[in-house]
Amino acid sequence: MKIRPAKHIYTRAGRFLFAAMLVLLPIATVLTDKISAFDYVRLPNRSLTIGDTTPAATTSYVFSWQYPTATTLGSIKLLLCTDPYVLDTCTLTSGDFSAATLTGQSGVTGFSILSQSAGEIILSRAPSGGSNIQSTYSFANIDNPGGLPDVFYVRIWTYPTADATGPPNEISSVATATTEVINITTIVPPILFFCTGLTVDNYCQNVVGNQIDYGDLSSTSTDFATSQFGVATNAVSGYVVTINGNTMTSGNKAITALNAPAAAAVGVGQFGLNLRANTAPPVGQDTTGAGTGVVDANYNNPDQYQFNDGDLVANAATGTLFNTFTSSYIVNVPPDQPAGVYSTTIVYICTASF
Amino acid sequence: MKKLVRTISLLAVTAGFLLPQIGQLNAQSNALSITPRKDYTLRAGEVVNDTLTITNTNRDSPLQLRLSVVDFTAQDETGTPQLLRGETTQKTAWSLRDFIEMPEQVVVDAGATVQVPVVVRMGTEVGAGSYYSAIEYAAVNDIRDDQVNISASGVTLMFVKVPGQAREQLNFLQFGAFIPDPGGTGGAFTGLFFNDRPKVLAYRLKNEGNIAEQPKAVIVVKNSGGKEMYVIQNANPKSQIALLGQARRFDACISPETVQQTTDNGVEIDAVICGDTNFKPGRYTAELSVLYGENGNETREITAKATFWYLPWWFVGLVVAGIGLAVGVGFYIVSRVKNYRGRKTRRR
Repeated sequence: MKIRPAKHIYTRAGRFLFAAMLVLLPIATVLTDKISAFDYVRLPNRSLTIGDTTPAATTSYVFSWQYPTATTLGSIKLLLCTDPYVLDTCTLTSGDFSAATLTGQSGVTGFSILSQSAGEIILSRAPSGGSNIQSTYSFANIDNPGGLPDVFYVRIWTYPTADATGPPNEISSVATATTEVINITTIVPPILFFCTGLTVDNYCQNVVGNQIDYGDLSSTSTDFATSQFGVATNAVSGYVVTINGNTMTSGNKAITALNAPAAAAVGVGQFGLNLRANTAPPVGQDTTGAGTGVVDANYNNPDQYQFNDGDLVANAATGTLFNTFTSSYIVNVPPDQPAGVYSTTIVYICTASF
Repeated sequence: MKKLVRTISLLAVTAGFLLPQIGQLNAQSNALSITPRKDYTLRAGEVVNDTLTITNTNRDSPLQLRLSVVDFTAQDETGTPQLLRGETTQKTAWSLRDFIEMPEQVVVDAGATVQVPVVVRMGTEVGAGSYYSAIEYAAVNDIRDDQVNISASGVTLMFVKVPGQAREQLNFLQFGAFIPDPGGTGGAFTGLFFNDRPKVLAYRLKNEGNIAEQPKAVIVVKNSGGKEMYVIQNANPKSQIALLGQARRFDACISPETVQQTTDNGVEIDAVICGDTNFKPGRYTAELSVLYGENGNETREITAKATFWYLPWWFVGLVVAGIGLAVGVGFYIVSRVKNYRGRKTRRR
């Protein structure tokens, strides 16, 4: 007698379901995200205008925003913080709200200062229906954060209650900044050290030579030479170094530049360089020094050479101690290269990153 | 009259740098230290008198420099400036070339430091927004036409912000976990990490306004249970800038570390590096909040979420083995039940 299809199907289905549960159940449990700041309603068209943006100045603050709905509104909390993430613990700035006075309001009005401290102001009124109109709240006698000019934030919470308790209606942040005519961004002035030469030493105190003489170029062997450049900076954004110039020329005759990394080939027109120790030909050395500068990928392959005007050759992502980079140049010419005196000028340009 | 006096003053300063040095230019230095960046906030028509500090670090040879104002733009999505060199290059819309006055040549004695005067005079008709150009200090060397000549140039990036009602617009492009390449200029977004724990989150923004934006951003990383693992309070720690029209990538270390070093000549360096993270295998969510807005302008906010998985190979192996074991046990149980029912049926 045959096994009943229903029982047979059940057995297969049971095995499948059991195995699927083992795989899917753990996955399902991790797909649930809890509520976050993204889930709160924001106040659109919000801004903060400071009368005097000088650090530590006592000045006026004018807040403006639009209420998205006409929901019941009873209080507004303003928090002076160093970051805008509203669900994060507020790190107070050195600004001061404690002596602030409410000098004007428009739109949704009727507020007065319920409480205030150095980093917080709570405005309150009898809870009542609001309106989705642009509203403005002006204060006087507020101290800007002191120190170096910087961006800072005021977090804004609106509540249906009169004492800023319970679930908020909306939460948002406004950004503003203190400024000086000449903005000083660090206590230690940023400096960029840079030098080029046939040889350079630590921090460019002794730099020797700036011209390479290849002599007579040959179609039966590769001509090669080196120069060096050195860089260091305390600028936190780091630096970039580019090479600029043309291939070797004699009047309107040129030696072909290697536009992509390629190996040296005798008897073929080539001009290129890299920043590595090579074996073909035996020239150059790897980067030295205690810094974190790195060579660009196109110039970082031993025995592969390239040259393009404006190419990035080295960079550092952040402030770094001194590095010495060695450029290894190769020149090859074909047997029919037109006679002439070939030369070029290579300018290494060092720039801070922005 | 004022312009004539200013011109005469600048010429006098230039001559003062040049005249004593003419007889000493046989060997030239290609070594300098400069201020890499200057930032100003100036209203239309406002003037600032500042100085550029230049040091000839070469102890043996004088340094002759040619100074010029060069416009620049963004080369790519990083902070690499692309200098628009060449006297015939058309000025950019944000150029400072008409607003900067400084000597055209400077000579610095071996081992000496000079303060070169520079005047930034904003036009009376300029609108609110950002203006920027670079000052290039090009070493002047004897050029041999039978050799390869090597020369050095340093650059100071000059940024001027004119306050007021300006158009501010950053558009969100992308956000997620990121693996930078060793050179730091490139890399790839990824949502799966099998080998190393993620260390970097990156976001890409396109600047469509007329202010070079330096956004402030916060990133919160949570595990699958909603617990905050990391809060990156400053996700733009190097105060990097998105230039006008640039799509810029901002990299943020999940666990940043500040390393302080001092150079041989006493300069302090603060380097920001990405430290190791302590993620356990699992799924994580990152929430990005970017705020920007000048004083008096509307504060704009960009928010985004991204997820990534940290699944080291040993964990994947464990999971596969565990599933295999569970399925095997399941089949065994079903098989035993089936056999039991079969024996029961036969007894009947």
